[in-house]
Amino acid sequence: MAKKIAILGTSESSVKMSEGLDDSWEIWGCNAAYQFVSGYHKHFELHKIDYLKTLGMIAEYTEYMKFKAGDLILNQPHADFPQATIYPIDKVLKFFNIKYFNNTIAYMVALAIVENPDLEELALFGVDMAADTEYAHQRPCTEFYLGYAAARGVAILIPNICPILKSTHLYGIEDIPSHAMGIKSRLKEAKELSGKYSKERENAIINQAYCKGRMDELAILERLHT
Amino acid sequence: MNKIAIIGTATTSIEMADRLDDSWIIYSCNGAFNQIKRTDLHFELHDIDYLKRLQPPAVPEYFEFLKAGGDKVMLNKAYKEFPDALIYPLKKILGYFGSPYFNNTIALMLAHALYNHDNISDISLIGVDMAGDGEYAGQRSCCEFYLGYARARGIRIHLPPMCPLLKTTHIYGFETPPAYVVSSKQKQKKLIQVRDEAEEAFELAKRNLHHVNGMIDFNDNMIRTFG
Repeated sequence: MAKKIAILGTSESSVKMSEGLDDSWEIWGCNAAYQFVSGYHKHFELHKIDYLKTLGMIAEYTEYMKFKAGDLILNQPHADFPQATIYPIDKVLKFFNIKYFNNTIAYMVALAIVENPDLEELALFGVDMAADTEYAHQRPCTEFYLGYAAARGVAILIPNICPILKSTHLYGIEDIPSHAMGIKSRLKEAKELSGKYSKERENAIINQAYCKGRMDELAILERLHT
Repeated sequence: MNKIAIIGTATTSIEMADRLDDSWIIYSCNGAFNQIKRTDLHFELHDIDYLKRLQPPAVPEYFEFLKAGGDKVMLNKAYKEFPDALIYPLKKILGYFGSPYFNNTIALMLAHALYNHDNISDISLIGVDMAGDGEYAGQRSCCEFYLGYARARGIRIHLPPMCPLLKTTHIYGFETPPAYVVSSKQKQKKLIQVRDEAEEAFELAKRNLHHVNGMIDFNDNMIRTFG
């Protein structure tokens, strides 16, 4: 039977949607995904464990990773998790012939491709990488490997709420949809109002400081004459 | 085997286009038209009426170029004034890739190359940066999706060294960030702190200035009133 793999990130917007998947799916989670969804198959932690410890890795996470045993995928061997599987980075780099990885999800997509020539479907849940977040720079890399998967005939399933592989309209061919136009005009309006209020605030600060100066002088006079 | 060069308008590398030999099929777009010596197919996928409405509008030479280009020009739809231009085969391309995911001209050009040529050995992107945040961040993702598609077909991808596509400073999780990235991050943190302190001092100085102005005006009034 052809393989179906679902990859779970940690974005609350859609990670729990994976709970609707049937048993035909193999589910891979990473990082804090275990806090949202329980009972998935492989857990990826590709940050250095000692680095995570310096950030104050919680005991619960250590326990969880120990529990995953051989289904825990690490970037390198670590004494605390002797049964963990080590991510086959050399094999993956050789396969794609490019040194291009900047996030865990991309590694997971890449491994799903490398290890499963019969991969039929690939789903992403809890992976947003929205433009206005710190994860935005990770999206192109993830989409590169999704493009690779698509070219091999893998069907890619991504929740509607997730911005990956989506555009508001077909550039140049379709008009910008009215809701996007509405957002643009509302944003322009909000920016103008914000500018107006900033100016008013600035003037209020100036006026307040100016009045305070006059008040201080009046207070001196008051003390002299009472 | 075909070699396709896709030429954008980024000045960081567009001059490299003129160094390509005749074995390359050149796809150009938009404002690249007068920056390169030759093109085999020029893509203008923005609405022509929109280009005319732009302030300032596209230069008249561009419309002349599109007219003279005949069937070496590809547009988003049919226009009476460009009767010989080719129309982007969107339906076929959407059917080929199975997803309506296009947010920039370069991605549409890549998709066209992949759809239209069976035997591509090399794709080169020149004058395409898509650096930074904002509009280009989303466009970069879309381009890299189609570059991933190309790579899966065994196509060699060539990018100028200064082009940020398909590049990272280090292999995440396995390599440590290079010293310049670490030092840049530390420097940035320090600079932000210095800026915040300067802004605070500036605001305080401004308030002090207006406070003193208020005192001066009051005293001035007193002097003028009571001598």
